[in-house]
Amino acid sequence: MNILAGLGHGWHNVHDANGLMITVIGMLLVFSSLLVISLMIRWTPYFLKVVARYFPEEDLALNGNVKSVSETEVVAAISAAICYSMQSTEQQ
Amino acid sequence: MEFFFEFIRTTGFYLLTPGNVIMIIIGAVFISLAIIKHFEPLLLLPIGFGMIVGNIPSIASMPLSVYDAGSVMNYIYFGVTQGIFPPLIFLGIGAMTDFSTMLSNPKLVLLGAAAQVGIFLTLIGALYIGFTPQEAGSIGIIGGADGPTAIFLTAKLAPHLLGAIAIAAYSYMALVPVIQPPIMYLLTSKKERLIRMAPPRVVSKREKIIFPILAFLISGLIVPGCLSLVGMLFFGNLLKESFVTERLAQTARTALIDIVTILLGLTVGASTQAQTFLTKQSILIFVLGATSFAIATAGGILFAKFMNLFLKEKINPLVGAAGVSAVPDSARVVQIIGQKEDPHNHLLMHAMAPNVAGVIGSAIAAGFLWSLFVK
Repeated sequence: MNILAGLGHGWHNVHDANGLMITVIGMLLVFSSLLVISLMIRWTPYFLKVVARYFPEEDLALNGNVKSVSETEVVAAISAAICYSMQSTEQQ
Repeated sequence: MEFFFEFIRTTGFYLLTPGNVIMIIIGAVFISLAIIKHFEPLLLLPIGFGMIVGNIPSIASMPLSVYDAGSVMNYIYFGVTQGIFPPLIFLGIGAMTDFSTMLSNPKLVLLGAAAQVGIFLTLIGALYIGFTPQEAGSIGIIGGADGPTAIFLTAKLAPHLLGAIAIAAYSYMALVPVIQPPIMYLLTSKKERLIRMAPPRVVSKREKIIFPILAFLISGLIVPGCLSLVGMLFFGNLLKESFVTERLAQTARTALIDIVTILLGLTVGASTQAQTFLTKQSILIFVLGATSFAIATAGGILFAKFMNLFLKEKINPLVGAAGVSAVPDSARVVQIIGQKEDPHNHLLMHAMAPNVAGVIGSAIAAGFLWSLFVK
């Protein structure tokens, strides 16, 4: 059974719908958006250092804005610390 | 007696077609996969049961199915067809996502962009086969490996393909541990799989709060079509990271996303009636979807290798496979494959960066295709 029968397949469909152009522009848009986001992430710490000179970052947890830390989060934090410690030891 | 025979003619047994039986069996297989194999149970179980519900035939005068105006299922399905449910799911995803790994290593964001090549190459494939541009865009988005995004875009561009595309997208998300490893082994050497990456740096609270606002502004201004998805994703994340709306974040990542997942899964499953689902088009959609997913995985890996040509601190190319946005399954697969080569190599946190970047990338791609093909 030819599954493509009756569908009118061919490169002319791609050409007519500007398929290649859509692909190029689409990928460029996705890349440029994420590239700008990536650059923004990279530069944010530098910007925040300047801001911190005038508005020092407060510890939200100490100010009582955080009611409680769940047990799962504590376990995740401990696991991450162990994992980090193991990696550092092995690299040495 | 005539009443009795008339009633018999209204029963499902009388009206059942072989197609309905096949779909009910497929629904049962989905439920089995969810329960026995634990393949995306939160999605496959509601979808599987929905498939069974949707393939119980009823007489025309009784509004029961998702396609019958006025039926209960039709009202719920409204959330799918109008693209209401996917943004709500994104809100929940945002409220449960920690972007720290991405913020600590921003170059990994680009892997999430590279993996979107699957969407656009599949679009070309679908156009070649003979699908309309709207249909081709909806099929291509399966390669984004993001169920809600696929449903959102298909509801806007090609609602008649919604059942097939949603089932394909969620099936391939569930099959991430099966589809990705062979491609990962094929495209990487043992030496590359052994690469260790530096542990992520600690990210400050302010960075975490500023990120969703700025990232939303950037993506929203470049591609306004992605506003509903990306906007809700970052809004959910801001609820989480701001620390002052913990109750809202908690609701978004638990009760809300659970309710929406149930309603979406059930009605998407119920939309797969044999008459509309068992078609040649559906088979093609499944084939193209698998291709799209494979290309996306390969795109991420190959781009990681390309980046390594210029980087001093090398990236483990396996991490590129997580650029498809099946969060967190593809990141988990990266961790498993990496640990098979080196049990002490922990790639999970690194893989989460392209993984969440992939969610943003696929939503941007969807927004672009929507703005391009909207009638």
